[in-house]
Amino acid sequence: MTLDAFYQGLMLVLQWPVFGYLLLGVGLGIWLGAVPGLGGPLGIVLILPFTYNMEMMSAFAILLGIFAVTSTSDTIASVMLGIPGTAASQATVLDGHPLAKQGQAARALGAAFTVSAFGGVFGALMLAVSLPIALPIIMRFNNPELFALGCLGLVMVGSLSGKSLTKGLAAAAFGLLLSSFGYAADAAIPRYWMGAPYLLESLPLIPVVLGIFALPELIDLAVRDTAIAQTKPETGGWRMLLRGIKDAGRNWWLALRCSAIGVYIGMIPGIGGAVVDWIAYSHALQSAKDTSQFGKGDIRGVIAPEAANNAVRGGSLIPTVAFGVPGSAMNALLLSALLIQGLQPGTQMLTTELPVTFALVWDIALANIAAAGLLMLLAGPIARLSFISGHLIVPGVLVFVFMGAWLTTADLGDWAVLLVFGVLGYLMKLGDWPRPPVVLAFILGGMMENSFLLSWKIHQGLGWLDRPIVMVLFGFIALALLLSARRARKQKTAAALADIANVDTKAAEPDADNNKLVSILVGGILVATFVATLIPTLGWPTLVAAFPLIAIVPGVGLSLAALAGDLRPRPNFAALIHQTMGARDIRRALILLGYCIAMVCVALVLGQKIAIVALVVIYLRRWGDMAGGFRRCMALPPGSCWSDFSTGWCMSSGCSP
Amino acid sequence: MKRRTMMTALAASTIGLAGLAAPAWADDYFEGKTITFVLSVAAGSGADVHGRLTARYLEKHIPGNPTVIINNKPGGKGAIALNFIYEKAPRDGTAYFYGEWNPSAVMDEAPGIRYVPENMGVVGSSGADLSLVVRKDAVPTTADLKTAEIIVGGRGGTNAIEILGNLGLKTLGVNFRYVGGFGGFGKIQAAIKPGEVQAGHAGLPGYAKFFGDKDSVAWPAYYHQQFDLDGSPLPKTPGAYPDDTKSLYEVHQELHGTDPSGKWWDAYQWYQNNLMAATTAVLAPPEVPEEVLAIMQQAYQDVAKDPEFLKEYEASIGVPPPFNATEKTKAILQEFRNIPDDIAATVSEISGL
Repeated sequence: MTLDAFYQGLMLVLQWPVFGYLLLGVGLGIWLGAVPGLGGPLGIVLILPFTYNMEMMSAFAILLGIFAVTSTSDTIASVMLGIPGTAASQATVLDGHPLAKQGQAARALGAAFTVSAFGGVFGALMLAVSLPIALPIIMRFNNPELFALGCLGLVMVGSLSGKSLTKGLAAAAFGLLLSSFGYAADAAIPRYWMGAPYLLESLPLIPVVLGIFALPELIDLAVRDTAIAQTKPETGGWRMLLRGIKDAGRNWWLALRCSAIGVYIGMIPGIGGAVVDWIAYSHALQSAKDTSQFGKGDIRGVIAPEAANNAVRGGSLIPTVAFGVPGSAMNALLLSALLIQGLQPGTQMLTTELPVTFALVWDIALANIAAAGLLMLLAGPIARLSFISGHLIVPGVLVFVFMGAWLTTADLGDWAVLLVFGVLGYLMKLGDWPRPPVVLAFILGGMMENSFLLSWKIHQGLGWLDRPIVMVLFGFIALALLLSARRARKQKTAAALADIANVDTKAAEPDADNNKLVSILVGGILVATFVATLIPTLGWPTLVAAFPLIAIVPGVGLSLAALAGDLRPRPNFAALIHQTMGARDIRRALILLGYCIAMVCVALVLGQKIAIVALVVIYLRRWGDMAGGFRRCMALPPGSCWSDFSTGWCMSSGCSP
Repeated sequence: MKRRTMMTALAASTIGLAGLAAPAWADDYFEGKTITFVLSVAAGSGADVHGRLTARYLEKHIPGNPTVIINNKPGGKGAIALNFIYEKAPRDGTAYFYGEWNPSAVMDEAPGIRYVPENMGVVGSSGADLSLVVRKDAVPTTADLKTAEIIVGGRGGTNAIEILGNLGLKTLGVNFRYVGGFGGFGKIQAAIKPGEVQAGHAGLPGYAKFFGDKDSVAWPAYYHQQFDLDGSPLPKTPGAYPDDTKSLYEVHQELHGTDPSGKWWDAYQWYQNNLMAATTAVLAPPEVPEEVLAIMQQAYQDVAKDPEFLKEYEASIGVPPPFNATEKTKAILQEFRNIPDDIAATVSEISGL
């Protein structure tokens, strides 16, 4: 039966237009990975609203196409520029970029693409093998266990995705609170709706996630005036590419071990892509007899992280599909796609919907193979994507962001929510508050509340806390909190390694900013929100108030602790205000946000289509001009504008126009 | 006089133009449009499967073949989906509620219920073949219902299926504790299988999808029979549940040696006769033009008679439910508040579980 389902899954993927959507997803994923600063989560959240009207298999094909391959194409920027395309390819820089400097970029890319495909397929196979085995385990997970597992996922993501434990956990509590807006799960009592019918149901997923994730990244891309590189290094051509493929074959055992590492790390919520490359790199270093060339251009230093960072994707889907507990923001978005398409994670995915589950496995495997093939054939042209100025990307993506938010309910409230959370997301980014816990908790909150309430009612109180698996899971939560302290020490080691190779991790780790004044402001906003929501909550029936209180009570304490951390030692506020308000990036970000708010006002009067077009034109005139050349471009007819643009692009990337 | 003639001519021409415009509306209105069915049940539940199948065939039968998409909005005891359709959905015929419309919550004036069923447009409705699905280890035979203590997992106390189901359990005198909040049968079955709860009130789609006649974990202890106009029990729908499944009426006779009677039974019969005939309804927001509703009503009736639909329904879910004529649905939605006081008190008592 399982083999039948495996075959049916393949047939589901190979049918038209599903396979076409998979290839489209692969193309988008390659682009998102190749351009530093974009990445998979942004791609998933942008495409998600457009999948609402799609047939289920087509929707998953495009989403998993993106999901699977961003960590393949992100290698290009790591090798060619020494800038990680995404956080998952930071370790690749250590040896990939020195190889490029030696004229062997194609060798590094050939090896990386080969093991990426291998790692991706290995991860997909592990997913396929693990799910049927997981069924008896899933049957042991009732509502109390699912609630505890959700808590574990949130604690792990909250404690691991930022530098501060208190900030991460406070952000997770904030996400849980957001998930409880609107009608209670168990009664027709609306919560925190502030008299706005728009908020009666719940906060809408897409505008919130686009606001928290996408808008801050776009603002960052716009204000940094990104000029990633001016010249393209010599790659070494086809000869070096083939040598890289042979290198991958020679080091198959290392690739296999690192793929396995990727799968296991992927299964653990909260760790995932950001550290798996470092763990695999360390493993390659520790298991090598001759380590003298590591950091100077050892191909094993490319193979290890690249095999692991693709395998991690398959591994990370195991808890998402089996338990409905995603380990990262990107997995949380895929979980919401599953729910939107009418699938329930858990036993159904492994029994009645097993062919669909295997189709997801095939999506990942085929996407990895297709991406590796495309990248090997088209590595040169695709590499040029890394040289595009951010100013050419922002307006197009901005349109997608606003359109995506609008598709939710076609209400101006969608844009208001997008901007409110966009501002908050940007502040969190500047203040070094982790955003993934907010999104993860927001998506998981509904399921966790349901599990909590059912556990409460079935066991008539908190009697379920002494169930063995629940106790083990809460034990893991305590362990996760302890280990996060140890992880801080390991981060220092990794940072030291990065310093050795002069890695610029800015593009891959946009949350590296830390503006203390903004951090204090975010802390203040969170404290104020928790306190303000506590007041009405106390007047509700127990089962309506219980879950918000689970978020509010620790949330107040954690955000106060984070505030206290920022205020110790007492900062010089005058200097901080001067420094913050004087920062060019912040001034420009405020201007861009002002444009967006003005656009919403214009939409009220003239309609949203005119408002969006106006925003793009104004952006290109004002910001494009800052990048150079766009005022001239805007004055020219469309055809000559494109020719001017492509000429400029080729000149900047070193190719012949 | 001359002026009156001109006015009459103008009015006549206006009516004539309107008459000319009407067929164009009917033929082309939905072409290229997307219709959203807002379901009050969780994705993956039995009712969700039913809704998605019906939506797929409506695409075929609505003139212009619009795309029909599903949007699950469970929660708030069904109020989220119904309030959305009543207050926020577009009034142009592109959004409909699909699911159980919870008349009890409306009659109880539960907080947060803002929709008024009488004001909503009617597309159609269907009844349901319902049963109590129970774990075999908790209740091996119907006779064990007399002594067993069971936890019944449910969608929510005011849900129509749950009210009928709980009235049935009370009629039989079963010792049960009701736990609502599961949202749909998809989640209820996930709790029955590992033994977190022992039973649940199932519609035929949910029973067929998650258990079926040969399941080793749970079985249908009894089905809820329908009644004719005189109140006499009707025979079981052929093919729905195993042939040897007893009705609640028969189980009562087996357990107590008498025909059922008393306040629970009276409320059970009234509820089954007056509200459960339209368990699942397709409703439009107020103010949707009658012409648009007429298109949808016809399409719904066409789906109910489509042999291809009935065949696929039977293959994927089981015996199709009884689909009601449009007029019957309208009557149920207009008259559901005419509930006798004693029945209302009993229903209110059961919905508070």
